[in-house]
Amino acid sequence: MANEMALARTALLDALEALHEHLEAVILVGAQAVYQHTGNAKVALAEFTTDGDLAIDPDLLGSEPLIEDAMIAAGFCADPRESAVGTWLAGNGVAIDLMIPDAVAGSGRRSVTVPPHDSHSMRRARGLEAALVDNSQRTLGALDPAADPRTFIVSVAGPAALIVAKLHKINDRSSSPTRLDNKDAHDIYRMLVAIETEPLARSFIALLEAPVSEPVAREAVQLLKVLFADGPDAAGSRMAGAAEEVVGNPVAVAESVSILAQDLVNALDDLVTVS
Amino acid sequence: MQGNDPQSTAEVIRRAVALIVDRLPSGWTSVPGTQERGFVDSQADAALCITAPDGKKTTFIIEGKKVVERRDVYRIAERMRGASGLDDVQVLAGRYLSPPVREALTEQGISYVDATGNMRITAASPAIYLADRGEDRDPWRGVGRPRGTLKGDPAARVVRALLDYRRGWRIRDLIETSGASTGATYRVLDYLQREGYVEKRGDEYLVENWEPLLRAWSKDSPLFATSRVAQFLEPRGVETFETRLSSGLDQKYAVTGSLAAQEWVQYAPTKAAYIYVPSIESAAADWGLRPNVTAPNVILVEPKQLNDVVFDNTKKGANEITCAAITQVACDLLNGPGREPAEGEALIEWMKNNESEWRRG
Repeated sequence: MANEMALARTALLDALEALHEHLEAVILVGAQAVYQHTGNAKVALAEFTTDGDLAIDPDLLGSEPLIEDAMIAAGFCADPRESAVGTWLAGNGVAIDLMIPDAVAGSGRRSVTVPPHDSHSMRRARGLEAALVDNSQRTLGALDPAADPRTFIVSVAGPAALIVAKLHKINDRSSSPTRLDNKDAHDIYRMLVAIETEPLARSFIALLEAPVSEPVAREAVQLLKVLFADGPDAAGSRMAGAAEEVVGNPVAVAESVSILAQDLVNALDDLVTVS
Repeated sequence: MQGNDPQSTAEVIRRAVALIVDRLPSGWTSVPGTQERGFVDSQADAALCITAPDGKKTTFIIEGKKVVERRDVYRIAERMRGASGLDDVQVLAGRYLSPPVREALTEQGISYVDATGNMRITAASPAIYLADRGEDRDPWRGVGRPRGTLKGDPAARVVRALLDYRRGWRIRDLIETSGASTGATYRVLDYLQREGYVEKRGDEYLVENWEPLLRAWSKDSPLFATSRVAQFLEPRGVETFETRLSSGLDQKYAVTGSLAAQEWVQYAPTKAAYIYVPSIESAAADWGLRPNVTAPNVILVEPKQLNDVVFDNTKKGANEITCAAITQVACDLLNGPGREPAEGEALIEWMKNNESEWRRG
């Protein structure tokens, strides 16, 4: 597993290197971003991911080089499956997803409209709008710096933006959840454990106040209530618990995540009332 | 059904024989008979010839005693072994044999039976294993008799003082240090002496070997038996709760169990924090704890008394957390759930190897 984590990070660095001309427009999202914020959270499930997710801000995206050219030149090849628009496979087999937040992705169903780049070089994703608002720059390097000394200064989505994105992802797949979705729910638990409620609530307020993220953030707060804050038996709470089956304490995780979600909902209510 | 208190050793023997005969499997036969075996202290010896269904025979040599105390066991075992014929099974018959006495007899390999029905008899040929459970408390102990257990606050105070300090005690010093009443201190000391946990040298009392005393006290002190207990969940986990404990809120407490044991022995990550507090309500409010019985990870324990002995000789841990005394922690772990008894054993092992670090002079 540790090896797969290292491979995923290597492929991510490869992608950042390929997109170095566009680095200003790139925001790290997904599990690799989550773990940037949750290093101190003591949870039973080990950090684990086999891919890399990058959100692209089209307002900051230049014309050259073309995304598809840059990725191919760096040794990536486009995943040929129709359902895998925007997925690029690195030489080591790791998938890197390039995604544009739905609200700023132009027309299209899966594809994007950001000329002059190819409409299939990136995929639209709803929920990532929050990452455009809530992010901060960090230095990212390999898990084994001795073997791979490359580092990149890159924007990393903040915890609130990542929770919004994960809530939308879980909701989008609620009709046919898989074990991988349990891990997404557990990532929400991981972030709620690692980040104190009050600063998290303030970040959520910022998302609710920014026009580009307001709709997805408002929807996410509703999803947080229904999927987690409603109690340990709510769908998301149960999924987060299920992720710890065998290795941890599913009951305690389901109880804890629902309490922490309720705390966040209450803190948001308090802040909205005050303002 | 233990019946009346056996008034004589002969009665003890009669009861013992009846109990044994009653528990022999079908097909086995027994013929009672008295033999002159010449046991030094024996008031009334008996023999019981046992025949297995296949015709193999053995003889139970039964030594009756009205009172057997733990300190006597080794001497009795030596004597019985010395008097034993090759094919005989030596059986000690007592009026009532307490759990520590039964444990010591088992350790010495001596079969026993008591008039309340406690029984453990083993033989190699023919292969015999007779075991039954009678009373764990002397049903015939009269009012005003000495204490027969280490239950309760006075015993805990005396035992904790004897364990926490390595020294000879004049009784006045022990009363003062333990905080137990004069009468209770005498009663507990009397019991500990009879059970062989405490020695009297001149006018001083001394515990040479603290481990059996710690274990005996632990057996008589089920965790939280005399305390209020409430369960809570810290949703960010025990580690987060630890930092809150060490943040210096003015709340009296003493951590016990696994979390405290880490102060001395690294075992495994703590799943639940057990904390003695004078008031559950006040501590829960100060620490922002939420009641939860489904998956609790913080358990608050409120002893009956505000100045309970659990708050004595506490230790400020490396992480600024106040831990109960190591003897209290070991006692609680031995009685704890799940893997805690195993942690208790690991802690006792550490205590054996590092007595000078925890036992005060």
